[in-house]
Amino acid sequence: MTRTPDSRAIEEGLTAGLRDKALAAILNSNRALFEDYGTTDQLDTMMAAIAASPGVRDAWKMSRP
Amino acid sequence: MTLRDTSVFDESPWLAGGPDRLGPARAVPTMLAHEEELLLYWLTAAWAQGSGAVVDLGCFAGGSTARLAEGQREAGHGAPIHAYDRFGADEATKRRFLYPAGVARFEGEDLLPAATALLSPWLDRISLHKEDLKDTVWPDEPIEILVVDASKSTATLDAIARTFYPALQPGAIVVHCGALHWREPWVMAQMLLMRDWSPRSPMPITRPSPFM
Repeated sequence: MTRTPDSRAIEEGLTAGLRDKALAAILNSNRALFEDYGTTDQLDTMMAAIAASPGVRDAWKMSRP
Repeated sequence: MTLRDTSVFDESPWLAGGPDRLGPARAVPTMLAHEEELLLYWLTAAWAQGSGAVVDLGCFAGGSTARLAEGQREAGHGAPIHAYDRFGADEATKRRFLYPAGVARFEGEDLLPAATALLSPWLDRISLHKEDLKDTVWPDEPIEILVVDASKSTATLDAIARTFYPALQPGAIVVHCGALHWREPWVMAQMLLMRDWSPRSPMPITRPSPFM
């Protein structure tokens, strides 16, 4: 961290209110970063997992894509 | 604490020396990958300056905590280490992870006594907290190293953010285990949403985890 996150930054980083479309868009819009680190397979699997488990926000309830 | 050059992370210095450097911490069971355990040890042994607390969220039987504590002992620092978990283990978990590692068989699901015993070499520097992270209150104490392996739901991840992120001091390191796991896509999403607060983009240490 370059500095202590303020309350605005933390609020903007909260995830519970993200719908599937928004969650997927955040990940997919950073595809170039995943490519840089050779992790596009993991990105694609996460995207498929979101699609396979609509609305699910508990890891133990996620369906394997 | 001043900001430091993080380019050393590109060279994976935690791999040097291999697992022998973990010393007695190797005996504490963990679900961490090999590279992860070396990273945690290195963070406290070579990177941390002892300027803030070390916080370990989701420590299971204490394996991650032991590696952090052994690194800190090696460095000669004395910042407090706080480890949080529900400290519960069902029979299947005990059979899969604990008993094969030499943990004595025990009745019930309370893992705290076993974790306490396993961490006995470092208890002078560790505080164990058996809590639900959604209810945790963090004291007004700066955090230098935050290890998160407990983001099993968005509710918990957001609670962690609200509780612990305000205590991250400038230059703090945050390690998110499982950041690339398909079961927890919200972890990487949060890291990306907050990337402007980091001196560098989230970077993978191992695949699929952790990210920092």
